[in-house]
Amino acid sequence: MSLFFLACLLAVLPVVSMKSPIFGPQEVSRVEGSSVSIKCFYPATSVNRHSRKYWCKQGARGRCTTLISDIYFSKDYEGRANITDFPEHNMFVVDIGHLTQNDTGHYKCGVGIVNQGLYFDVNLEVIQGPGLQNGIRVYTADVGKKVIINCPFTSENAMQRKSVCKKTGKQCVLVTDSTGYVSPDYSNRAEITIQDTSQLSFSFIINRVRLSDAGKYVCQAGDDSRGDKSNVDLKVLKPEPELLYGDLRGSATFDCTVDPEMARLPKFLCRVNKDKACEVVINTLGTRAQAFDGRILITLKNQGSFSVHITGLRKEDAGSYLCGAHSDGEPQEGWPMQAWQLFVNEETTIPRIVSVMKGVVGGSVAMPCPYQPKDKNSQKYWCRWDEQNSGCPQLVSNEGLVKEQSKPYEGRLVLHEEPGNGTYTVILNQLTTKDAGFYWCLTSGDTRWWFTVELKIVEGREPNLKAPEKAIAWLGDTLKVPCHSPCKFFSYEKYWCKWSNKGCKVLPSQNEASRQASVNCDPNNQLTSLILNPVTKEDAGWYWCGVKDGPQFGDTVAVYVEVKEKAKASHDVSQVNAAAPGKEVIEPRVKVIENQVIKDPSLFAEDKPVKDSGKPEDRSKASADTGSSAGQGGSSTVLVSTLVPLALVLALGAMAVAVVRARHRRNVDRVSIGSYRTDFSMTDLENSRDFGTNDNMGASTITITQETSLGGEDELTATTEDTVETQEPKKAKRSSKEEADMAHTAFLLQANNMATNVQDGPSEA
Amino acid sequence: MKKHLLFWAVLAIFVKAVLVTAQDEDERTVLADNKCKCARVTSRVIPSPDDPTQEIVERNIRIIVPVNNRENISDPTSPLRTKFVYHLSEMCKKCDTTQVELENQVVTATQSNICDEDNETCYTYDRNKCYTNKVPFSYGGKTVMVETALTPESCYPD
Repeated sequence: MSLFFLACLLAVLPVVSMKSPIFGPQEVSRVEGSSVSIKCFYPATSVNRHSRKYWCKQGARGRCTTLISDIYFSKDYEGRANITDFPEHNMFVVDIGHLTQNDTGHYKCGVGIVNQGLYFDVNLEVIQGPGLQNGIRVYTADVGKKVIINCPFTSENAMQRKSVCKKTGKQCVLVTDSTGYVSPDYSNRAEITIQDTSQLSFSFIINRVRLSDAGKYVCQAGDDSRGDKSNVDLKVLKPEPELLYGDLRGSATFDCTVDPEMARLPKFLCRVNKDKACEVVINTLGTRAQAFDGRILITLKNQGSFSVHITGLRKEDAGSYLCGAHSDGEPQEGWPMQAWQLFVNEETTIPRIVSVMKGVVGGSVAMPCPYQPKDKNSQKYWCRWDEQNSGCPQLVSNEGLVKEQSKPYEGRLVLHEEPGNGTYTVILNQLTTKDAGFYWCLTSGDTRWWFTVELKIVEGREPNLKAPEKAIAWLGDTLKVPCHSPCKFFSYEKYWCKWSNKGCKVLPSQNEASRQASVNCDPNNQLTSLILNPVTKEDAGWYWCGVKDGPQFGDTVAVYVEVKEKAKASHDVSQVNAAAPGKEVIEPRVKVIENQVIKDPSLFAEDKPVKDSGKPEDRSKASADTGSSAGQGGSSTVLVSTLVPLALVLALGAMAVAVVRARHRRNVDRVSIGSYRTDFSMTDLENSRDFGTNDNMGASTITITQETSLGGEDELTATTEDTVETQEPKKAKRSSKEEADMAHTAFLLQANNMATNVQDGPSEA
Repeated sequence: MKKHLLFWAVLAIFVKAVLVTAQDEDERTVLADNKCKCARVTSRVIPSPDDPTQEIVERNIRIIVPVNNRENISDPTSPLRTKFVYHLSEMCKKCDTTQVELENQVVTATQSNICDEDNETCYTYDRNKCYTNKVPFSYGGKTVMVETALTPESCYPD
């Protein structure tokens, strides 16, 4: 019983199967004796490439008998059929020759170990070939082509009227005759010609054959009973659409060939809707369907042929399309057109992309563009979809800015190609409302991996990153450009890079976000500075401050740095005032950051106060910056008069800072002593074992190492401002106090050690 | 035996349900298509049988039961699976990402928060995965354990 149920289930299975991702021709008609080649597409996955490919004939009760597969030939197909796999094009082709009418039937082409699940239904119809059959002459014609029907007559009727009628039911409706009459259905495309009087036959010609032309015709010479009559059967072969296999979210290309005669006419692509009408999708006269806005492109090629690219394929894009050329840019019944059938595979490997990106005026966007992983070495492009000219002029490639278009994108466009991860990123900043539109990510490789991204510009919002638009650097001096980032970028990597036509080269930058801010992010604290020291002429140009989240690029902001030579004294004043605090602080701090790596981590706590000291100055420096930029606009006297009080304020601020810090220092020092101690006691334990008897030696070595490192610190701090220097003696005193303290602790610990006298094997010197 | 009968009865109901709904495949919305469990949930809008002027949503659940599969599909020596459990909530979870607008920025987000768990028991093979198993292989009197592919088609390193 269970077997019966199973049989039932199996019988039902093909009916219920999900829409299969396999795609092929739905209906194929061929003339007897000819051959057929059936293309079957499958999703581009590894398993499909290696799976068995089959072609089977559907029999009764849902069984599908394999006729040919990768490894099998049925007897019937021996010597006349072939199956070829093209894994690089994810399709296979079944070729069958010497077709007979017995080959008419329902077939399946598919992928997999069983003839189930992954397949496509194909109807194959083999029709009678041309020739005489039961007194009727059979003709075949393709839609849109021309057919010449030969109508014989006897010499008696040579002078009589010749006519052709079409049988509809019992009647025979006149189509055309030798007097020049043509029925409306055939106007401009049917005619009767008689080559010369010696021949006993006339030709009935139909141009641009339509499907409705199929049927039985009667040729007549003479109208009375003595006239000659001959029966003709015209079979019109349905146009077989070109198959196009697209992936959801991917792109597809219609390559349309046009007769060279019509090469100059406007081209079109239209889509057959439910009512069998063909709606223009795009043409060269400027019409474009709304549904394809931004994601369709028509490109003319040589000899009248053209191609239409559609990106961002959707489920509803699947269907029948027609392409061709006509003076109206629209399809015309009976006009030669190329038929297409587009299939959209939903089981795709095409990655999801963000199809709409939003940018704020003055802000930036970073557009990730995926590409086919095999196309690692191919060219990558980025172009802007042009509505008016129906084109997509390239703006940037992986080789840099495209020359013809570079002017409006100077300093604000970059294509980053990160090796390996299958995406490249295009960054555009200094956005304006003019930048809104559609952009295409292209590669010279697989055209199925083309993407469209719409860029929308939002007004009335502030860009995330803040940096001055322009900075003036003085030759030989130091320039510091701050870049503020909001708290949401706290965990992001910040960088500065120098823009060029070829890309943006990352520069070493300095991140001033204090480490303590990890809990509470201070919006004023997220500062990344660009430091040029000394400024040279080559330093002029565009600089970008940006953030990066792992491999993903984020916001950027561009700064133009102009390099000027020092000329007047007044300029010097402004320069000194504006840049001095920055410069003085920077130099040692860069060194501090470098030293941190080498130094013992125990000294790290000691560094912090020094670093903190710089922070308020930065703010004051920022204010100095604004002051100087304002001063440059006016006369030098105004400059001096504004800057002198400013400098006074600065000095006052610095003093206040010094006081605050002195207080702050006390707290920090306690921490630092603690850290010294813990570290010290550990090293000390080791040392005490080495030089067991000499207590003081162990302690003194530690003191020496500490003195050297602290000495290094003194050197650094000595170059900083006075406020810092005044701190130094105090600090030194405290340090010696600490040393004494430490030596004492060491002594106590060692004494303890000696008492227990534990020898734990050999230890390093 | 009784259990078996019950199972087949359930199966017959499913098959019937499928037969009834299979006609207009295109008008249905696929709510969930769980290939791991061979189950699919679809819905469609039909006129209500009680009041033809009203439209109601009909939900169809199709389950293909792979009766000959093993309990552990990666282990051909494990016993045949006799218990098939289907949790509708689990099947209907949406794990594909969608685009949402957040603070004027379009971001992609997952539609469910239980998508990270990859420990779902599958009742059938995933065509895109390679399944292997160790088998004893005797040659020249020696027996070694050899790793073999259960689904060779899926195991090619491309």
